[in-house]
Amino acid sequence: MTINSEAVSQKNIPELIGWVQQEHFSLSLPSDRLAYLIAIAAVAEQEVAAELSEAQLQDAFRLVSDIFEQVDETQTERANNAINEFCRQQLLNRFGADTLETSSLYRLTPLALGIVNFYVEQKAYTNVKLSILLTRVATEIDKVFDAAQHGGDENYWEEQVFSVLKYSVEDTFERIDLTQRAMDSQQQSVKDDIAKLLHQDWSQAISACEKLLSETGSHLKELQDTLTSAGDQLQSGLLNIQETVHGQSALNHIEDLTFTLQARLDAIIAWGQQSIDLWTRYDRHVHKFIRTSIDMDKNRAFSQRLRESVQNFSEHNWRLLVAQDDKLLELRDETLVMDEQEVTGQLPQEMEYQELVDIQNVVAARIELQLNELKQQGKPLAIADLLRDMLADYPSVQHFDIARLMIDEACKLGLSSAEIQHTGMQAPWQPINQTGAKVQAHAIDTYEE
Amino acid sequence: MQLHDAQAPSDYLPSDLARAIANPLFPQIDALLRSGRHISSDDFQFHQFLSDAYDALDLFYRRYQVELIKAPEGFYYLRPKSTALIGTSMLSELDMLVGKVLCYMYLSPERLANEGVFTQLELLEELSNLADETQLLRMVNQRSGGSDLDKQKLKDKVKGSLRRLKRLGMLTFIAGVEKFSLNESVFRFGADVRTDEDPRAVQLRLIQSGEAIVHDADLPQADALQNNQDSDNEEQLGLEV
Repeated sequence: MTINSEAVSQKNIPELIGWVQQEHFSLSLPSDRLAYLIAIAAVAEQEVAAELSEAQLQDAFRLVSDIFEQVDETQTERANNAINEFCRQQLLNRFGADTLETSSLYRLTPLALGIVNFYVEQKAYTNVKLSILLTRVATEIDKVFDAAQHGGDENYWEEQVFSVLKYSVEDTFERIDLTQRAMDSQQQSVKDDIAKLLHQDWSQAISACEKLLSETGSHLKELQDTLTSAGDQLQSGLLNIQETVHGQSALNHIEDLTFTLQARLDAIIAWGQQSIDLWTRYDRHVHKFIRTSIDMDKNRAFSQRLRESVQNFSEHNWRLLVAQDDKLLELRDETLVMDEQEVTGQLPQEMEYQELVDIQNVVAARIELQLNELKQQGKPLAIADLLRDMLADYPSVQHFDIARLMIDEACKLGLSSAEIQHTGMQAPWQPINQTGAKVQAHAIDTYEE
Repeated sequence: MQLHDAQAPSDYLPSDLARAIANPLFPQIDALLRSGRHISSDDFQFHQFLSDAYDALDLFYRRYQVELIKAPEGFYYLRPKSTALIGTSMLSELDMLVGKVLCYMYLSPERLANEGVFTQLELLEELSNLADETQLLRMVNQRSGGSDLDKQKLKDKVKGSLRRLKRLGMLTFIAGVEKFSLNESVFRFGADVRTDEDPRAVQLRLIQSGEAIVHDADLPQADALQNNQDSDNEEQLGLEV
């Protein structure tokens, strides 16, 4: 695996992708095929020679086919197909027969063994095993250090130092790494279990969850303690070897290897610490969840009611009120500097009476004067006639305004007797200007005192 | 306003209030609260400040006819009375619906699985599971027949609601706007079904306390209720106005 990962790291990603495409690598293992592969591995384990005949493969296939309840009739053909497919996918190596009489032999490839191991031995990684691995690697490193101090010819270094480091120590690191990865999946499954437990029965799941949490947490912690305590020892062992070979140009490759191993060990310990941190975070999250969600909703009745309130939203159609102060836009930076320059100057004399209100007042006063004369003489005030005379003196654009002012003033003076007596007689429409405006009004003849 | 003048002379500034206002955090917190923000223990620093200075600040905001509320779940927010000098705003129908669904999601065991992180997609799914789709679509288009355009509009509106609730401090976006985590303050949306009491009665109480408002012909209008509530308070305090 180490060799493979080196090969992987030497290629860049597009090259790798192109390589897979070019070689037509592909894997497809539905449950029944995977079961068959595992069955083959189990049969192979019982064999001393570890090679299998086609008959054995057929037998194994029959077992799988029976358990998966597949049709008997086509069994031989299907077994044949499966075996051919395994060979194509590089899961089985076929050692062909040289004559027609001898039959072929099969052996599982490293790929197949890797897949089988993943499923079969997944649960076997424990911290006990890890401590064994660590003791083993420590002994190896000590041995290598001793050998390095001894020194010898090129072959000696190659056999006693480099190969031990490369194939024994690095391989053990690989296993430790795998153990950690297995722990990762274990944590994930604990998380799934906890979520499942809470789905089932809410408040009763709490103690079970807490147990799972603390178990996994302490497990992780134990593991990390083992790692860190052994890690220091391993690092110093590697450092010793490094110092011994330092400066000897013929042994550069050993020095490089110790560097790689140190980095590897660091990465393992760092991930161990990180996974503890992540677990602690998850632990805290679950506890907070228990504290908030579960405590607030012991028997999930609140959730249920909430659900119903969404479903029958029209009966729960109330709206929350929240504070929303107007934003103080004036306090933005750019307006902070006040513009204190004077912007208004003196108004020219002739513009002063241009305000509409002033003009209206002047006109109104003039009209008032005119109408008052009629009132004093006691003559009836025929609005239409008066308007006609008056409007003739003004431009047509002002007629409406003048008429309004005039009527306002007239109404202040008195009423029409025709209006008071409720005769029901409509006053006639009378034209008041050249453009066709008309007025309908009784003459005002009852003046107020 | 005179109610509190009677309790505390206006020319007297209690030393703990002075200290609270002098704190450099105060302007920011004040601005957030006034913009409707809910401050929960996730905003560790602000929350700490508010819980230390709660009594003093409550007195401070009462002068604006606003209450500083500490919810049972531990978050703080401002609740303006009808006579408040600080403006109020009402959440929309869709905001409320989204809020209720978020509250439901907060309680669900799903929240454990991703360590409290939800995606917008999950929200939309939960929303269409729980709520009536035609009703949802009516919120974007009165005459909606369920066209794709209306569905897209609904999605956009839901996103808008999420952004608004984010401004109110009820959720936090995580790396962009697709993922978010929820905050205890979503419990405000579940207020009327918190206990097995008749929701109508609870709704009425919510309205009376100025927490909510209802557009419903069967219930007395919010304005009338607010007036009642004012006179109630005055009676309790034995003051004449």
